[in-house]
Amino acid sequence: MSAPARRSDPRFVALLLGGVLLAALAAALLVGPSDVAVSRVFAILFQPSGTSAEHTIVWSLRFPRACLAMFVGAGLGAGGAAAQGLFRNPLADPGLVGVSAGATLGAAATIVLGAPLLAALAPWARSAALPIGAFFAGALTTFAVVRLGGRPGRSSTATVLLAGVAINAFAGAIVGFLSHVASDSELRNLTFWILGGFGGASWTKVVFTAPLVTLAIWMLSRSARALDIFSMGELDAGLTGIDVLALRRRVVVALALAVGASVAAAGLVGFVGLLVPHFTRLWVGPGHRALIPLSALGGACLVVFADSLARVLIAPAELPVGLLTALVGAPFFLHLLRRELHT
Amino acid sequence: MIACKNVSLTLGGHPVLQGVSLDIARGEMLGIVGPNGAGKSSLLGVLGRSIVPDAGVIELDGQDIASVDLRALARQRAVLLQNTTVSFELRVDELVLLGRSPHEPYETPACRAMAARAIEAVGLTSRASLGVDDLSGGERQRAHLARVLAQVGMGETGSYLLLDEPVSAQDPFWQLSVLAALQKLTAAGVGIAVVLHDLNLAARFCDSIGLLAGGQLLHRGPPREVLTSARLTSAFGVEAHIGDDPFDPSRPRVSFSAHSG
Repeated sequence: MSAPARRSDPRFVALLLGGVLLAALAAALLVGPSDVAVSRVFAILFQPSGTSAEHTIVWSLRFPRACLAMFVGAGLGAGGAAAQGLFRNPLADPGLVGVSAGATLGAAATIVLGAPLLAALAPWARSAALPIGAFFAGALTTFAVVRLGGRPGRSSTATVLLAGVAINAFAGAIVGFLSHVASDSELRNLTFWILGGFGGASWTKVVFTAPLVTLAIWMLSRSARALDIFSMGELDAGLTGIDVLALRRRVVVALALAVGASVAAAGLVGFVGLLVPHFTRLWVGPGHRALIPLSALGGACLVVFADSLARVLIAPAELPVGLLTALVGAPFFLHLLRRELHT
Repeated sequence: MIACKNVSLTLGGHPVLQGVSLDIARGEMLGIVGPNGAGKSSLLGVLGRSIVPDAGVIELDGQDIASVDLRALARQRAVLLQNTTVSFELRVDELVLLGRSPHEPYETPACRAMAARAIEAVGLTSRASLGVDDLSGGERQRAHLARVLAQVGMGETGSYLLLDEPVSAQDPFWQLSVLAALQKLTAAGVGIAVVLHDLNLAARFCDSIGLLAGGQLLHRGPPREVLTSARLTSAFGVEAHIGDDPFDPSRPRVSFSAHSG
């Protein structure tokens, strides 16, 4: 006989992850290629204005970068939990099912095709255009994957992932075409951004990413109970009082917001949406009311930590953070896939 | 009362239901029987509003169900389908609690107590904290039954159950226990429509029987009236013999012979 499935108290896990996040943020402020003494970092934190080099390093480089990494990680973590609920499949990572690729395409199209328009805009409006483009293309691709791979009764792992492969290939081809026709300066922008990472972090980016991600997490949390019921499938969810089409629309929009904002801010940081919800589910169980906010918290911890690692591993150069998450995430995905196909 | 009037349904060009009129009163257990492909599951789907018929209306206590809000409907009636799978590793108690989700307040101690009663009614109390995926097929079927029992609050908050073969994976002990538990609910005023393959279980437990074949309701009435040799032989295409149930001689007992009738 099998053992009872244990669940940890979500409040305890929230406290723990909150502590880990604070530690990760502190670490992100402290480490970097240039040495700033611990005492100086915390002294500077409490004086928002200043002109010293150390002040610039802490307030204009490390602090916005840590905040951006936090919101991007939160968006990817919660987005992963939502994607898995939407596709009723624990392997539905936003990157693997093509949502991120769609958002990438949207942002790339905004950079290249929207260049004449962007040039006329104020800098802050330029920062807003990228997440908007990523959101709309992300939402569109999510609907496409739902239609291709998520049909009732046929939402198997294979169809969802294959639909993702097709969308990824298609979006990749168009992004390739866009980079081909891009001007030199557009291409620089595009490449810098496709490589991903938080090298270009700024307070402006934080200001545009934070509300979008927060809104998405709030929307997803409100759909938590419906997502729980949806885990029984469309038919049973309908019989238990859920308007399945409305739920799907809500989740797709929120998912595209979370993933679109994250992709627009940091490019492709893969597998966070797969790793984090998986372990969170093992910890607190599959109930979305705890799973979604805790996956956001866990994603924030992971990405803030991974970005600090990316900055120090080969200092003074830095690794793209997406490379690190993929190095851990891809083997883990294969492990999950093997287990899924053998049961 | 759940009543359907002149319901017709075509799926993929084939007529599945043809002019079926039927009602289920509170406090009544109606057994729906018939050969494979007779339209039993489709009829249940239409009654539960998971399938929209091409013609006809379905009323719940006099109200057209097409006009009732999905959640309000889910509080009034619960439906057990044949093959429900859960995509994440829910525990039995978590699954059964989902049945209470159309109701407010949700996830309160009273709500959990109701779920626990439903779990007890299907004999899964000792399995309540196990993962649904770790159960045997029969136990899983009972876990989902507990979920729909919780959805109508064991008859205290809802009034109707539509069950598609709720004992198909049960051994004789659990077939009898589950149907006896359902009978108790009808005594408390719940109206139940249940699709059963085993005609003798239907004869033993149901107040009335609807015999469906070729998408048409051939007969509806007390077991003795509907389960006759001539009617069963013509509906199932094998020779049927009717005797008395040795444990309850007022009820009929059916046996079939392989010789075609």
